[in-house]
Amino acid sequence: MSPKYHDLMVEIVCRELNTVVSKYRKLTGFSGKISLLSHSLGSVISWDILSHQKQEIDLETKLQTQNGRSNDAFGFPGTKYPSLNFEVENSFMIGSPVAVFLMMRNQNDYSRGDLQLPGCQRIFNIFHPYDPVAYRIEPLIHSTNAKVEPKIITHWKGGFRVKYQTKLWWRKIINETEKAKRNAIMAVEAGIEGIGLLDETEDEDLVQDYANSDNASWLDAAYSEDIINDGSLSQGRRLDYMLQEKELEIANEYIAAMAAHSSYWGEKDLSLFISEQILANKY
Amino acid sequence: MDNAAQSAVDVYEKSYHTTKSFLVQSFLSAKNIYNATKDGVKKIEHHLLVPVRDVVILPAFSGVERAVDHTVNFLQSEEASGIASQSLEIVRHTPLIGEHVLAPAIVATVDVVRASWQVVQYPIPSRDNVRSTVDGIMTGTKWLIANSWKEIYFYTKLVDASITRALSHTQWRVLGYGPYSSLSDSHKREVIDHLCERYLSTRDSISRYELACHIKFHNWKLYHDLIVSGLLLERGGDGFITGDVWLMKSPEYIVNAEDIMFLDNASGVSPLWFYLPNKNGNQPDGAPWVCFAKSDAEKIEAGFKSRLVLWRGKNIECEADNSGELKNDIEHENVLEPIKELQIQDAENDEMNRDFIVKDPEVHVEDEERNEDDCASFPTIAQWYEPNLSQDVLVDETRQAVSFLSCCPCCRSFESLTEDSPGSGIGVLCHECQNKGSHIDSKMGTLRFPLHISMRPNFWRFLSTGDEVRRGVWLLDTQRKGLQPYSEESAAILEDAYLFLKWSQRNKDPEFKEGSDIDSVLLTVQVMCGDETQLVQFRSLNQITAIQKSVAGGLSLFKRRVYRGIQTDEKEDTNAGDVIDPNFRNEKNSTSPMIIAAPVPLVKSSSHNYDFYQEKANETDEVEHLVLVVHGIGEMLRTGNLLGIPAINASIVDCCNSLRENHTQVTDQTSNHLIDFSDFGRVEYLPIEWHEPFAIQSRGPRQEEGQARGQTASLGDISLNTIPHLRNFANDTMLDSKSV
Repeated sequence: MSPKYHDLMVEIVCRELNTVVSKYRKLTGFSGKISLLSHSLGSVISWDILSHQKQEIDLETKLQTQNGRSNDAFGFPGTKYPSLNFEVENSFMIGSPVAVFLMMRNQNDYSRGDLQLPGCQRIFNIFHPYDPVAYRIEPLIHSTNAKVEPKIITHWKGGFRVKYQTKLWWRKIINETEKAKRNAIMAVEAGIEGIGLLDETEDEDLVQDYANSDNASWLDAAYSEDIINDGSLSQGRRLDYMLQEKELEIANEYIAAMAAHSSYWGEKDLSLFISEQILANKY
Repeated sequence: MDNAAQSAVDVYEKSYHTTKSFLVQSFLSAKNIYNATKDGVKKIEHHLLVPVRDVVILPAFSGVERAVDHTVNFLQSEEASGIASQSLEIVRHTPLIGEHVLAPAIVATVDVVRASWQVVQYPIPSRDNVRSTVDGIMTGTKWLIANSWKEIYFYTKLVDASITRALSHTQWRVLGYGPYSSLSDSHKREVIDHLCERYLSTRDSISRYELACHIKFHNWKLYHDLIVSGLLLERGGDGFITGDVWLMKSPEYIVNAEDIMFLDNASGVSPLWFYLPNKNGNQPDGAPWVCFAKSDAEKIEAGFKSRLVLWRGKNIECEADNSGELKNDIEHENVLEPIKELQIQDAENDEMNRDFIVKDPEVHVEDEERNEDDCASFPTIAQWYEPNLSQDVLVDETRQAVSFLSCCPCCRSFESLTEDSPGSGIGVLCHECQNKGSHIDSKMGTLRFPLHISMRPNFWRFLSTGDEVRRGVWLLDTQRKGLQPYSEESAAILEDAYLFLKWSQRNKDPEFKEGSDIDSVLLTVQVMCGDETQLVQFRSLNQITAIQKSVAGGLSLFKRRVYRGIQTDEKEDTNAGDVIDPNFRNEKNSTSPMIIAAPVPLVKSSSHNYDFYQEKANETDEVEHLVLVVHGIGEMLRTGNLLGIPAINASIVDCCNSLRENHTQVTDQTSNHLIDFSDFGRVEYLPIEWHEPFAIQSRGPRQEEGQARGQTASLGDISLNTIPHLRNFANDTMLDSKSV
């Protein structure tokens, strides 16, 4: 991905994409929607292609006037980005080092409006927990996002693998005890309050604290939707999605890491996730 | 069988109980003896011994009891197993005998002890357990018996055949292998005289056929002078012809035969279609042929027949119009997409592709429709294929196109048949062959179609000439790969032998039925199958077996079944696979010539979900969504297989296949999902291969730089030399060093 070859790669991939799509449309009369699935370095290329599609011209000129920065700050100076002859619905990036590339190019400041993907509607950064090449994107958008765990992709037969189920169970137990404790305290407090010794406001703080601590938890990452500050990328929805490691892989993370980067192609969880997202977008 | 199994189960159980009761009894008796002794000791009331009893004997007994108790507890505990494994390790390290003598002995002992302990501890094993064990033993025995029976039978036959062959065929073997073509004319004449004599003195017409086949297989030149030239026919005289029709140009048994190579499809038996997937443009060694899905096979068969109709029509009488049409077709056909950039490319590539670049105005029109600049500036070795919709058959959900290229019937080359060949059409000799003056053996010409069939992808580039496609009329049942097709040449030999045998049997006995059992080897022909020479023995018309032609092949257990086509209809018919098991034979003869269709094991390739009987469920669904798969760089294109061991060399195309496969599997399992996929169409995954144009493009200018290139440091130069594997891995994944 040195500057020397970057333009070439982008151009080649772009043309390939256009060729394949036009061939496919011609031969099958296909008129449906199109998504991208890119692996590793391919995702960096497709990110660059998507972030330089024509639709953004208006937006970009606006930005230029706002920030007084030239267009060259995007990607590499003087790159001509060919346009795609089709619209991209979703862009799935698997095992993607995009975030680290953005950081190296100093494009990691969301407030400057560096992160724009006008070429596609939604983007998914999917990674295996042990993939040595994969990085998260959400923290680039807003530093508070670093505290939020990536969203867990459920097992294709439904549910979570053992490790996460244990976590879930443990979480439940802690919550229950917490709740019991709180109930007890509340009861006592209610008693004290009844006597008129305590002010009510403190109690609300307590509730708030509890809710906050829970928000950052892993449980939320698994179940709740779109609670984080994702800006306009991907229509403000979650970006980072994590596959569940297999039970076997937990045994030695470093050994699992060797294969993790190329493990995506056979991953059924991923297939289900992609098809669900595609279908979800249909309606 | 059931009764036998039942009784076997009973016997097993009985013996089990006997063992168990024996063990338990011995245990109990030991205990009893011990208790009795103890009691006896307790009852010692002799005055003098009382202190001895109290001080020595009773504590000793309790000590023993405690020790036993502890030992038992200890043996069942975790530590024991830990210590056991450790000590086993130590024993293993004992020099010389440790690894191979002591350790296995210890393990065996431990196992025996453990097993007997379990027998004592748990009263009855589950009935199912016993039953399955016994069943396994019974089937094993039965299989052994059946197989040894078959083997003995087979070897007797083989020995018999070998002896016959050794006695009568030595002479023609010598001649057959001999350096005939290098002989002088007078010698040649001598050899031919000799052979004619030999031939004419053979009584049985089938033996004569075998002789001819043998000569043909080993020494084509001799065969040509002897038979194709009609010499033998001449010498034989008129009375001779009746039995030896194969000497004629278009023998009766082929002309009058029904359903040659299943072209008429009258019998309900049809060929299978296979393709040989190539890896990086090379035919992989020993890779199995993969069977097409049924619907695809039907489409290809239809396309194939419609092509053949043209050829056969031409064969009979060539009309002026017709041939003109044909000529156009051919032009069309040999036109792979004219890729313009190839012309500006370096000479090496150009030469490779020259055969494919044929100017055709029609295609240029198509070209303009496409984006002119699509990929035009980036040359690749692999090429796009633009399917010719009027003739190609689109298979694999339109991802691949099967095209029928007419080829030279003599040398089978299809690339040299270009538009400038005079009178080009199906079944026309290519330039070289015309110049050489070679000509087609008309008999084989009928059985071998001058079509080269290849399958090429529509949506990604392919290397060399695409995957070869084969029409599997003659199929070999292999153990590991399922049914595999014979090559066209071998199939033609087999078909000829089959038709001849059928014809001659009918002639002998008008009542002859194909299914009837003939208890000897009728006819043996040699064919090539892959790299090995096989003897294919026709025991009867539907009992055909192949053995490898070598001492090892003869002695080894691998005698394989050969089938002619596959039964597709429920119609009663006798040609296709029936079960070789002698147990079934009588049943079959007693009833109608009803066939017991053999289960057809087919290749399941890892990347393609092709199964002849299993159709893809949502084949007809519309493609709802297209996912373009962009790969990364380096050697990270590996798909994990079942065991988690990555299969190396998987290409992006394979990755797409596995994605597609996973997709169907995942969406079929709708019960667990919140979303219902049933009204959702297919999702197509198509690969975007960009590495090759990139590699060519990025390498090109660098070579011109020459001097400068030697000076620039590469990643390899700046990497440290320590821990090379880890560093390679890091470089590969992080910095894409492979390409730059």
